[in-house]
Amino acid sequence: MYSNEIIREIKKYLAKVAEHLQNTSLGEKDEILQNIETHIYDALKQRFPENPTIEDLNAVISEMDAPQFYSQVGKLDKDAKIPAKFCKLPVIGVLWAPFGIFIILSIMCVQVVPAGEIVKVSIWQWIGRFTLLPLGVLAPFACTTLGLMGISKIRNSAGRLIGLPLAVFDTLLYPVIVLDGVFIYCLLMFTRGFWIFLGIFLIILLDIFIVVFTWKVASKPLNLQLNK
Amino acid sequence: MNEWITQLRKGLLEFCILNLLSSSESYGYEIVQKLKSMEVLVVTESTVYPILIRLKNDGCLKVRAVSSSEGPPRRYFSLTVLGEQRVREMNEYWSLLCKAISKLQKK
Repeated sequence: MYSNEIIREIKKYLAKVAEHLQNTSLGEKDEILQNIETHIYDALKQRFPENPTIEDLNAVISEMDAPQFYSQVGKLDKDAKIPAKFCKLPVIGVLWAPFGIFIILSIMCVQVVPAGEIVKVSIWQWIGRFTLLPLGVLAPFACTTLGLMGISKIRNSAGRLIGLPLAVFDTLLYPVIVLDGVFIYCLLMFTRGFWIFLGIFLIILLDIFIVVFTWKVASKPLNLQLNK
Repeated sequence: MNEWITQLRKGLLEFCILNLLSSSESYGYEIVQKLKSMEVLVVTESTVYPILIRLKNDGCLKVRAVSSSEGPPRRYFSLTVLGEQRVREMNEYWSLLCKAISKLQKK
């Protein structure tokens, strides 16, 4: 058992260290202090296993860093941290993507009129032809390309750009939609009953595999991959 | 020259701690003692503990508290899956770096 005097001295040292830990968060400060406290007890146990005295404690503390040393903790991190920016390319991609889906849905809702019947085209439909239609037709290519460009930019930014999950989402959105569409079409055309459910289950598994694989490749550190 | 050595040591400390913990879990005092035994590193508690806490907050280390009859519970640090991955990548990069530098030195 340690005497009250020893415990008091340890607390005193810890209080001095706490005064200098100004650049750390409250949680970090507590954890650092807990570790230093355990460190002192471990050092005492190891060096003076039987009834350590206050002199023994002073010997241990004198070999440790002076409390002032802790004033540098967190300071460098704080100074060195440059706030990361969100990469704009994947954001443009994700804003562009819905136009493509809108066009796909519009195609599915097309009404076939008998030949020769005159269809009245409203002004909004005319405007749509020259705005929404080109945007929608280009959306799958634009979204995928912007996603790929975003991944490349983020990976080469050394942490200055963020938004990798969004870039991966942009890259995979349309390829996965097309792949799933083709598979589901084939399933509905050539199979029945149980096989449709099995097929859909396998498609979901394939989608998960594609997403996980792409994420692993995209998030792998650039240096290692380049040198392999 | 001294400034360069100080910066290099600081950068390498995280790498050394992760490698030290890759073989087995360890507690603060033991980690500090082992690192101190590598005289070339010149480490002290005020540099090791903040790094341990940061690595823990980054998800590279986990802590297991073991209660003690005397004093506070001892905190054992060990690598998480993320930590294992990071140390693997660091080691790979380190060997590439060493090879590249040794090539330059020959020239």
